[in-house]
Amino acid sequence: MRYILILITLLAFGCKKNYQLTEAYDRGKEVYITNCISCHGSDGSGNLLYPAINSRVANAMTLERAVWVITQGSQNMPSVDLTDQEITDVLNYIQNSWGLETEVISIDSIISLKSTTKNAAIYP
Amino acid sequence: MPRFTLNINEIEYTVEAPERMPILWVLRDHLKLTGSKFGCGIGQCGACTIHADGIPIRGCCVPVKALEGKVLRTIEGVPGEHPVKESWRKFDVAQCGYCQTGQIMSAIALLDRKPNPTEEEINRAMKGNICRCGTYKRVKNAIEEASKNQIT
Repeated sequence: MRYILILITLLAFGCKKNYQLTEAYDRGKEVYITNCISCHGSDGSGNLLYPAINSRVANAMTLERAVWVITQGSQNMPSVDLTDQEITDVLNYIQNSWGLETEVISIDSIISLKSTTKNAAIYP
Repeated sequence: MPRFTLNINEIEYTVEAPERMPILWVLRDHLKLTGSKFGCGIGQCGACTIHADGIPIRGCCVPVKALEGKVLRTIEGVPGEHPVKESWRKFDVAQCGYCQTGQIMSAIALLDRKPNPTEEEINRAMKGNICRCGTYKRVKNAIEEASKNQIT
């Protein structure tokens, strides 16, 4: 009986993160399909004209830089008009797709990053 | 110039084009499939939306080389009695009509992925298609209607 209780507790804790992530992941996938997939591809490998975002190198990009690129654009990439929630979801999707796995990003961290990156260009 | 074999609307086309040429130029200039429109050229307006393996892509951003071996579909490949086109007629959605082929392609792709989208899901999926006449309300109504009428 005790073991079952422990098991249930563990499962409950284990699922909490996964549940958060699954929801964000699904919404993020939709955001990705609408706004990103043309240039960066369905597997994040980019195409002849636009860069890949599925490699560990690209994902080593700091969150600050990622938020900056999405909100301000970079080189050939125009800024993308996304809400804070959409930015959070799409980053959660990108960072947990194509064999990558990272911590769940919260919307609060995105909002605070947005305010700190507002007035300064941040380079990789 | 390299040759590419493209499967567009279930027809095999062979085209000669630079490999970096966006598919929209191939469609409009080489194959005379002028249903997909040129809007902004940087993937921001959605007028050039086509399907590659059922996923809506902006034709102006994707080089022809990246689309070899994929199943492409343009507005010409959507039959007139398609539920989305039917409801488009019912709600008289188009005003000037320039963005509408892109709107319809995005709508079809959405309904293929999610047959019963919520309002939020419709807004999220149609965000990449801009309409200068502001027909968004009718677009949304037509998608809701089409989601009820489609054959499952």
